[in-house]
Amino acid sequence: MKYVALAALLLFLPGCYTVDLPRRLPEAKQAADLTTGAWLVVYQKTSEKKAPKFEGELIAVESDSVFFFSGTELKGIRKDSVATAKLFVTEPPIRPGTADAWMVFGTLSTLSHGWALILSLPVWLIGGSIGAAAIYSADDRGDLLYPEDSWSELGKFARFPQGLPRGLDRTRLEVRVRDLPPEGTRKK
Amino acid sequence: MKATLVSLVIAGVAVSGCTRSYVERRIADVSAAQSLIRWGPSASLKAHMKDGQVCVFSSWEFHDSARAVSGKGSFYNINRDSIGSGLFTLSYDSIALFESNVVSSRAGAAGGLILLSGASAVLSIYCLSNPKACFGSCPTFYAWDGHAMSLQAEGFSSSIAPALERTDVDQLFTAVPRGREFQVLVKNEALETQVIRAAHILAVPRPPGRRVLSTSDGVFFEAELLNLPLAARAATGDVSQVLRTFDGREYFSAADSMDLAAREEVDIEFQDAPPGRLGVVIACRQTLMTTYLLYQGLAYMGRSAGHWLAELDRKGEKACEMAGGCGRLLGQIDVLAAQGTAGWSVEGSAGETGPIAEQVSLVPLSGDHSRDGVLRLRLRMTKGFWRIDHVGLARLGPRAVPVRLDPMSIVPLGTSEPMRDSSWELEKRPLVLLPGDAYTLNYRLPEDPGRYELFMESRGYYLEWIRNEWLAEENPAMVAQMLSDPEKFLRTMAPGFKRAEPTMEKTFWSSRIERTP
Repeated sequence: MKYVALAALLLFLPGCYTVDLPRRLPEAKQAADLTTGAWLVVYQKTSEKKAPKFEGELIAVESDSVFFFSGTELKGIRKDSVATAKLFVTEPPIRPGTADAWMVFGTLSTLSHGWALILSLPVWLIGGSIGAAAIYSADDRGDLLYPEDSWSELGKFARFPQGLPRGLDRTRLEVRVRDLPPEGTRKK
Repeated sequence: MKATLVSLVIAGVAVSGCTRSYVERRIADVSAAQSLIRWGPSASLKAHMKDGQVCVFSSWEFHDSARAVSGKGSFYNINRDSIGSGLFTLSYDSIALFESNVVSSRAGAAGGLILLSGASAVLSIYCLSNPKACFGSCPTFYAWDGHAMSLQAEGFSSSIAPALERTDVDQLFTAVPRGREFQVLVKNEALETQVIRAAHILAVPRPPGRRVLSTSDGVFFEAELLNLPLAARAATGDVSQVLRTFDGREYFSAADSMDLAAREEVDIEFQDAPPGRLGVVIACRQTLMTTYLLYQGLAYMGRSAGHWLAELDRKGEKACEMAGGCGRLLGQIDVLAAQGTAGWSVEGSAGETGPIAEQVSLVPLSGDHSRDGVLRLRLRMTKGFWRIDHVGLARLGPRAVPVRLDPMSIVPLGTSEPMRDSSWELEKRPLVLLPGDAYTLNYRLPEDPGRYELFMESRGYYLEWIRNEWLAEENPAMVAQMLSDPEKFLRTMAPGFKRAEPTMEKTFWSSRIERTP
């Protein structure tokens, strides 16, 4: 019976699936107080199989363009060249890795159920995998998603929600938000 | 089997962990800055400067007449390095826009369906644990506030039976018309039947830079809102910060443990009170004491509630007066002005029935009561009965006369087909709302709608649904006490209310029957 449970678990575990979620995001209360822009992931329109992807701090949304840092470079791209844009503002309640761990832990716990496993194992496998998939999808989507959400909604979370200030010397702008590993896991 | 249960609990915890906190951010240009204050409690206000710098205020005050905002905060440059903190006064001319944030939570993707199906169970648990605290009292009115359709008013809250049908006027204080076509959403969010016989918009002309406010007896005055330094002291201590701004933070006290009619006082001082005719502006709503007493009264009536309410109709004014005994004892917020050594003079009263929507009331002062520019006022009210958001002063102008507007059409929410057109008269064929019902009332405002203050004038009554769990408390002797000896009744009710008081507000809002547009 144990082997049946383990085999079923392997069958139901989410496969290789990557998400655009940056490695570290502020909690909601911190995010409300931040003066920097939120994390933007942009996929440009293309005829190629793989769409060009950029990511970094959102600086401003103008009437025809979007400005953000890609690495240390301030980049501006036309809005009409964007296929999808995701904006990550706050840390999600559950990250994909945690969801996997929950599913594994929950499923393995059914091994101690004896014959009741016939009932509890499918509950965990089906419910757990649906839950994990939903978490992957929600985490990948971000807090705001263009074109579902308008550029003006995304623009509220830019460093300059009013747009690029008039007369701003763009060379003076410096990157302030980077996709760093979570605190405590960085190598010194 | 125990282990199975543990597994299911783990699954439940995992799923419930999917409740997600998110930041709702609002942006307003300087002309609409005030709308951010009424939006919700925000820990900070950011002023984005035209040159790209940003000031994060931890406390702030708008001075619309001086076109400036001042307060305590920190300044950051274009790269968001801190460049100073302290007290700042910023001119509107240098500000590009304001930003305000509210942290909320919602069910995450994984928890959505389960939370949804669990919602009714949660509602039942809430209501069973505290059945006198479930959402109730009258139709709620929503209007556009510049960002969303927000709660603006509740209609005829004291009209709990046909015999108690009354006209109620509520200011749509934060409503912002988007043009001449103006929509009001009316909802029944409680377990009651609501009958609306009139729903007019009163459009009152206002001069630029001024508002129009209404007294509790329905007189409209042009008014200039003054941002004066205020000091306020209640029995619990200094409450100046809470009362200074109209921002959703409320002062309220706990009810007396022995007598629900026990009174309290809040002393207020305004510095630099200008000469001229002044009025006190109070934004407040009731606590849930009224709701509790209404539900408890209905529980005591039990299966005979219909009979008791019909008696009000049959016996007319005298019976209605008797039924209003508790309400009169609990009273309004009395405003008193200091008269030097001569004590205090009663200037008037503010506050109306209802725990849902804050209402702004004006109490005109009878003369110049200030001494050396300091105006001392006292608010006298029933303990634990009021939630006061703001107390301010206004310089009063002439009286204003409203234009009464009928709805052009009434459209059930979720449809585009009007159920009634402009020829429809509510008086003859009232609008009846059952729990969950919602309608859009369409009005046509006069030209240049931004120059009008808007009020909702509604008339009707509502019938509370008697809950099963109330029937066990049927007690005709207590009904008799409520009607014939309200002083004693309020003393008898005190222990029960005190038990429910700590959780009532949360239970009340959690049990709302909500339907979004």
